[in-house]
Amino acid sequence: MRYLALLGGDEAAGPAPGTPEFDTMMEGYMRFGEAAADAIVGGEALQEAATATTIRHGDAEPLVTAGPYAETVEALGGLYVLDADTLDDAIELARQIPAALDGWVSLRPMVEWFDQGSQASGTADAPRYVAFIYGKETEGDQPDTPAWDEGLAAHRRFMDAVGDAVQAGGAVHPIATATTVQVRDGDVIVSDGPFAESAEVVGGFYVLRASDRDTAVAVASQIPAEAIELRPIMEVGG
Amino acid sequence: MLATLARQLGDLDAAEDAVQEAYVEAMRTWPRRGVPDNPGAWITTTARNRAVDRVRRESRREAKEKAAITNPEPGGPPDPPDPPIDAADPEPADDQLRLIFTCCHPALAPPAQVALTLRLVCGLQTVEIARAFLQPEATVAQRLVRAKAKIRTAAIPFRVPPAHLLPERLPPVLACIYLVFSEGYAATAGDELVRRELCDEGIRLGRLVVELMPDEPEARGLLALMLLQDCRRDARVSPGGDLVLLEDQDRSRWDYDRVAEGTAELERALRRLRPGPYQLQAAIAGLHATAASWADTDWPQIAALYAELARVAPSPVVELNRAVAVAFTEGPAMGLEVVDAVADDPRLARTHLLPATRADLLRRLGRQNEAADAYRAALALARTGPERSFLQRRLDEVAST
Repeated sequence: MRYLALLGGDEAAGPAPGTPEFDTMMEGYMRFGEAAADAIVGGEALQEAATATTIRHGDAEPLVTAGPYAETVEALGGLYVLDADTLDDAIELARQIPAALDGWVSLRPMVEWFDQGSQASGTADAPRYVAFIYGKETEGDQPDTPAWDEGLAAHRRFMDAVGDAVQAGGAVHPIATATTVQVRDGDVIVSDGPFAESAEVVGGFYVLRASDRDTAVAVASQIPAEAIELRPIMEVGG
Repeated sequence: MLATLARQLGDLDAAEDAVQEAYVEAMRTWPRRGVPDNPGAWITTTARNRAVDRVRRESRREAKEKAAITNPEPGGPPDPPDPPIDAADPEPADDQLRLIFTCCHPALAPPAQVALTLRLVCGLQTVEIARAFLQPEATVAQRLVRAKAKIRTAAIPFRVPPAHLLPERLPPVLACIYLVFSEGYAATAGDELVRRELCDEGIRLGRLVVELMPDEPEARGLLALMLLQDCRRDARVSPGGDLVLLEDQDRSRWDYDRVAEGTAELERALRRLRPGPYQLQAAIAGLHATAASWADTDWPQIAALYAELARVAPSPVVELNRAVAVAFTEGPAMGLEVVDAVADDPRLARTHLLPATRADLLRRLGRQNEAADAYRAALALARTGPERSFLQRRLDEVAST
């Protein structure tokens, strides 16, 4: 099955891009990428939380603000989509992710995942963004319910409406199924729930392509969700 | 039987439902046809048949659904062959061990681990678990539902973890078993029968883990610890329901079969030369259990063991216990120094243990006014009835001198 691994940590404590420490960290990710190549189905590194844009839907027009959905010290830094038979196999992978060493990795079983990758032609060189779905967990976040099916239909309509702008996306099971993995002094610490001091992604995420931030906001605003945090992707490797 | 069914079906809920159905069937048919010769075996066989029926129904439905899509002709493919029915009856112990490791997976919160273990491994009803932990039944029920949903949805495996994972996976299992035992042992409030059952279940689970993992000294140390505590069970509450301190207990009422077994288990554990917190605590309990009287207790050895325990598993509560041992070795004044060193620890702020220990040492030093103040502070924090009445008695004693 598929697990969404959300990577987080204290940005202020982490190395800044361009420093040797940053390069060492990136080498750690490269090594993980090679070691776990068979299990990694997808993955994105995010630019820092300060570059985020948050879109909130209320009764009136969507409210667009600069900054992340929740101001937490422990910010999301990236994600992987992992293929693993059991939670133990997913934990085995998560413990090797550098973020587990000084931050945390939150594992969420996924309901579904798709990646249109290269098929999303035309805007292949455009900047990419991850749109995380935040908000209060509702009945619609519980799979196999009528509310979930309604939500799913709304997401299908969104995808039809924006077409090539969506490169990939995934839906996750409710927060109660989350598991946090940290490694401290060589010991693996596994705990129930998302990392306590972070805001937890609720429904899932999309990977969007858009020529600029305003276009990305326009696309993300159409996602049927209470709140969206839009984060520019840091293009690494390939 | 639940563990075996769960393994065969790969689904806890289905196994639980099947067992439930078997009991309903028993209640329906036994009054008419009489109780079978072997009721346990009857339930197991019935539950298994029910489960198999269910699997067959489900797969038939799936096949029909599939057929409806791929095969427009009515009838569809033939039913799948029956799953084999295992005739062997008693539930293999290794299935129960798998179930414990699943219930105590670190991806589940500790309260959920304990509730799941009691429900699925020990077979306690939700209402009994709620009563044992003084929690609303709805809270426990909700916790069980969520935990089972997580096992299923997040694919927590139904297995004993491989050897390289045991160092991190065995401790939560042992902690859960000890919590089951302590919940029955420590508090004297609540339903006495349920509490007795919790102690017995804790020891039974401890034996099970030792039997299947004989090379784990801490598992054996935990079993020894539970046996060496349980031996005092009947002597620690007076006929009137009052708490009787170890110092004042009638040692002839201790269960010396438990003492002998616990001591033997501890010796076997220590022979592996890999001491740990459970073995150290068992060694301390063993010294108490084999002392002829409170005065004859080997206090220097107990103080040394507490010092070692504080080193491998630091905790302010261990320091308080060490303070008592130090008081009997080097005098109450030295014990008081140990207590005062941890007096500001925030982890002790909400328990009566700190002022109660201080009060006792002050009383032994003859500082009655200070002792009375400390007893009052302890009374303000103590929660269970027997603890409160004990502290009140002591307060009355020191206040009247």
